[in-house]
Amino acid sequence: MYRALHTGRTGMKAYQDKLDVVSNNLANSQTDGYKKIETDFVSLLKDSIRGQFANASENAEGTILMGTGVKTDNTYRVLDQGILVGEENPMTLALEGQGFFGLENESGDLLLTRDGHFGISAEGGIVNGNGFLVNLKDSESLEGLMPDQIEISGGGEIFSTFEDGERKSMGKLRIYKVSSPEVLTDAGNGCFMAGEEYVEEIEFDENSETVVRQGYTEKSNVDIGQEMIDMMISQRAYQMNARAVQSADDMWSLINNIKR
Amino acid sequence: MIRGLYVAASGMIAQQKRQENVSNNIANIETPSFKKQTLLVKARESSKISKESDGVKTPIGEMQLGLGVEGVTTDFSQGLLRETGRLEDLAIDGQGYFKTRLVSGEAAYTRNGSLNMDSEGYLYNSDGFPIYGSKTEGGPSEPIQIDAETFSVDGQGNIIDSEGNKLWKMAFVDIADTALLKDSGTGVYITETGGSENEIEAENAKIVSGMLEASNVNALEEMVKLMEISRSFESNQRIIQSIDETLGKAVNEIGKL
Repeated sequence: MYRALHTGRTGMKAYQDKLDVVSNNLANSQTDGYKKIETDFVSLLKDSIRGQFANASENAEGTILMGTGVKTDNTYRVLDQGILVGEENPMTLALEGQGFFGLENESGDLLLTRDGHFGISAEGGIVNGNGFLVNLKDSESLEGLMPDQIEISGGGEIFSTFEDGERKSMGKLRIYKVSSPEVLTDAGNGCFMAGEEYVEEIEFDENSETVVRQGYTEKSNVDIGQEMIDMMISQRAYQMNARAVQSADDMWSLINNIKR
Repeated sequence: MIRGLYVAASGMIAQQKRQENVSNNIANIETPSFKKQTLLVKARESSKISKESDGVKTPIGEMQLGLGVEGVTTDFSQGLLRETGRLEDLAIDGQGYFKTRLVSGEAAYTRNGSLNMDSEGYLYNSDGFPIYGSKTEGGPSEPIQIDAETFSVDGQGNIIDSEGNKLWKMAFVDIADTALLKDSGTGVYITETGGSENEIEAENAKIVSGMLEASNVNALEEMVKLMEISRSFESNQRIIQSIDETLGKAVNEIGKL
């Protein structure tokens, strides 16, 4: 009886975890650059119960293996492309294909993000909404330039047109990729961190599948319909596990009531 | 009379074990490629009973004394294929298994094809088991390690890179008799010998990419079972109570003046 209670409990816990993931995805369904989270269900190890007929038992030791429940495992980000939507601000960038913009936080760590709401800082660097510097290479200061003087190519090269009509390369955006979505850890504000050994800079050439889009923002890749269905399934499955627990409890109560 | 008490108690114990099994099926209703299990219960072998008068025992027939748990069977029927849109998710349509190996070296089989690549390019399923295959047709079976970022898998288990080159052939086998497979928990099955001699060609199965096989647990069936179990449990409990009452009468009221 204890076992049935615990098996039901593992089910309730797993579906609660799943609901947490679903509600986080739903809450971020309008967050630019958000990548949805998914989690897998894994059944737990078997436990052996003693068979009462030694000759007909499941294996040589005379034991029968029975499952002990389920758990959620392996929570990971799904890096599918979100929809690109046009924006007025020319400093809003989006990535098409895999890759991340690189940011540097206060302590000098590399943060990865797909949220490209950038601006030009007073010091002439490109910064995101939190004031973190965007990683550039061969860069020159953009001090005093207006956003509409900046033009960014598909390969991430930054050009600026000066008032006298001169067009000049001002540097290049560094775009990074990771070896697999599992290495990403959440750093808040739509940013991720990953161990140095898993991060690699993308070198752009004609065959690059990643393209930088200026004046676009990438919407969240959460499919609301899918999340709603996952929510319903999780809720009902949670309910059903609760019923199994309740029924185990009822049976236990019957045992207690044998002796009146 | 006292014998009846033990018979009813054996009924309660067996129903309790069945309830544990149903709970496990319910807990795994959303686990990919989970196969439901059924607990088998069997009547205990009947024992001879006899009557005794004037010191002479006369056999009067046989009586079955309750039931016990005999074993567990796994229902290997196909689960629904559910679209995930992730190309690394593989489902098997028909009778077949992906091959893996336990840490202890035994050949093991799984239908969970929700694959992930680790940083060294090895393929693992979501239960954490490495997927085996061979580089060439008939080559040695080893853990699949892919040197490309993206790959796709065709219906026969050939792993193809983005340029159309065949990289690996996944070990995709069937087992002649599913009764030989023992569930070892966490979604893998092993044969009793731990070897690969029971493998046959997976002829009537194909691999579908972008889908996962859902659990084959039927929610309605399990709920009905749950009801049936708790009522049967209750009836056994009532029998114990009524035997107890009768015993109480026999002990306390017979012979009362």
